[in-house]
Amino acid sequence: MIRRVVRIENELGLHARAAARLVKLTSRFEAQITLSRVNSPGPVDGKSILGVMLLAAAFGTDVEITVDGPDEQDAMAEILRLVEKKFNEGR
Amino acid sequence: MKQHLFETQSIKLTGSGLSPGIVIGTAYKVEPAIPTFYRISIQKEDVPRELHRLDLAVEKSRVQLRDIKLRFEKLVGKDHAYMIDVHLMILEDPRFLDDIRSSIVRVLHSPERAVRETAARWLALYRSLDDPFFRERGSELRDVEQRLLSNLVESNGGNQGKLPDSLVLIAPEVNLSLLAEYQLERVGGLVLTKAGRASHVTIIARSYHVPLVSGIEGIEAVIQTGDTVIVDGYEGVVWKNPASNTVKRYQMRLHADLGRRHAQSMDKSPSVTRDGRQVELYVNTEVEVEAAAGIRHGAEGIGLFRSEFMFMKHKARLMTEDEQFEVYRRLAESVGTRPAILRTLDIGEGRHPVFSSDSISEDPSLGLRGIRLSLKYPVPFRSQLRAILRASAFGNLKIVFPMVTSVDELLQGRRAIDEAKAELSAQGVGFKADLEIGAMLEVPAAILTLDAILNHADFVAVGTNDLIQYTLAAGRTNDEVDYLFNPLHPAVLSSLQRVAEVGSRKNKRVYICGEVASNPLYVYVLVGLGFQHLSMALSSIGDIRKVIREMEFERAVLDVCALLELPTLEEISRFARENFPHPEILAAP
Repeated sequence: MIRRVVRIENELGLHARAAARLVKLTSRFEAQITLSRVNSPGPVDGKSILGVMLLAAAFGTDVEITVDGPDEQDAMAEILRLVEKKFNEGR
Repeated sequence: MKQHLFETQSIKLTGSGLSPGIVIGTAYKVEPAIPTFYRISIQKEDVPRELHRLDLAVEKSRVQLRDIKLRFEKLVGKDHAYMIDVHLMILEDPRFLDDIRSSIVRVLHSPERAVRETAARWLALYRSLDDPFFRERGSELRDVEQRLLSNLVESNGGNQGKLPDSLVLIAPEVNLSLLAEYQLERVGGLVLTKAGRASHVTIIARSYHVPLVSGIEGIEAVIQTGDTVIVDGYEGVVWKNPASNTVKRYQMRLHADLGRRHAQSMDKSPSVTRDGRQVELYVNTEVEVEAAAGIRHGAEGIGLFRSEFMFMKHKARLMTEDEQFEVYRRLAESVGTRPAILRTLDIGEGRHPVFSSDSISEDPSLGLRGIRLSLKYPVPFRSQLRAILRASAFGNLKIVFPMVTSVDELLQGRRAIDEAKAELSAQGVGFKADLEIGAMLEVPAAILTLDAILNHADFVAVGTNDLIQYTLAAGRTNDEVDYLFNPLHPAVLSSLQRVAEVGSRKNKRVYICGEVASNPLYVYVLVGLGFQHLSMALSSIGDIRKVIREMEFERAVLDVCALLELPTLEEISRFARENFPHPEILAAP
């Protein structure tokens, strides 16, 4: 199991389009992926778009990502890259 | 979040009983944006079949969404079609689907109900978000939910299958068109937040013997579709998930109720006061089948046929002349030589898609409604008049125009009838040449000009609910001014007295159509004022006949004279309480 905290730095946060991109990515992996943020009730399933949008992670929010499963290394690497690239939104 | 699914705690809710009676039934939450479904619970052996239905509906929704996405991409470009992707992902969201499946498998909910409740739980979570931008994402879920439900309901062949015996509709408020959408014979009870004693829904509930409890705030949050509920319209009480001894107690009362109603319907003695004054009773209705039932109960005919109700059933379009003719002909045939007074369309502009324009005002009660609307839309008006005239060859139909405010409107209405008659004659179609034409008295202006109106009307009919509303400037469903909505208000009494006086002087018949004619205390006053033609809900005929047979006309006249002298509502109420039969009505909330 790997755990990492990232800061959401795209302008609109984890809104619909970004959430969709994230879920498309996480769904490719076997590992269980959960997201949570400080002061937010419970972790959400990283493969559930309803869950990810419910996280309501706006610009600047710190999100803790937990990945657990055989392909956890790859999964975490890909997720971090997507966050770093600001969900490919170019702003 | 899960506990909610299995909650079976018994809860008692108190409101006010607007339509008497008792029903033990299954709750159904009315949500106008959600496709109607009646299948609520399923049997264990049906689980595989129901899961398959769910899969089919998901697949169908997926195909639809992909198709929409393609069209959307062509229209606005790939970049903007991502919202459809979000919908597709919600549709395939593993958490969402797992929750739906588990409530089908574990608690035997129908797939429709499982989708509805699962979506409702997620929506509640979204609503609780502080950030409006994310809160709004709940609307995406709503879209998907509606698509899924529509596809489910469709795959079920409309709404076939095993239906619960008594549906109890739960809603903040329902209007006429919404009620028409539910097949009334399936509705066993109503629990609302916002309905008044004189609301249309109350009138209809009473005439169908459907128990109605209103005034319970936030009812839609407490009761869910599928809950077992008892509605006690006598006490104004609603039980959610009642305990078995409560159910037993109510079953016994239900049984006694049915026996009493049966005994009452057998009584057909004439409605004559003890000192020989005859008072004829008529039925208010919106379904032609009640005409025959009314006559069986000893009614003299139909005092008011509310034609708008059937129009609301065909919401997407206007009923054709022939379709209307069939209904009016059945009505005419069931009354024969007895009168049936047909009121032309009485809806507010904007309440039906055919009658809509860009300049619709917020409040149709002070705008285009009744004959004003008919005169603005001459084509549908003419087809209604032609249909009524054609049907008048089969029985004693009369026409009454609603919301008449001036003699001019009445004359224009009469002219429209004359034109329709001329057309029919030219086409060789038969009708009753001397068909009577009347005006509804609902607006104070009509009462102030009653002499002139009666020069051009064969009869008048007082719509007491609207008359009270317009005389006292107090809305029917407004709790804050409910205390004003009082038929014994001196201004209302004085208007009614004037109507009785002018009617008798002009020798024209006056019908009283409104909730007051179903109320024993007000009936005493109406008879005392001199009215002899009272029209009411079918369910009240038995009770009111009894009231009339027990009262003395002479005494009622004296009591009403004394009442008319009193200037304040307080004195009037006290006088009525101390002197009138049936004062218990006044004590009612």
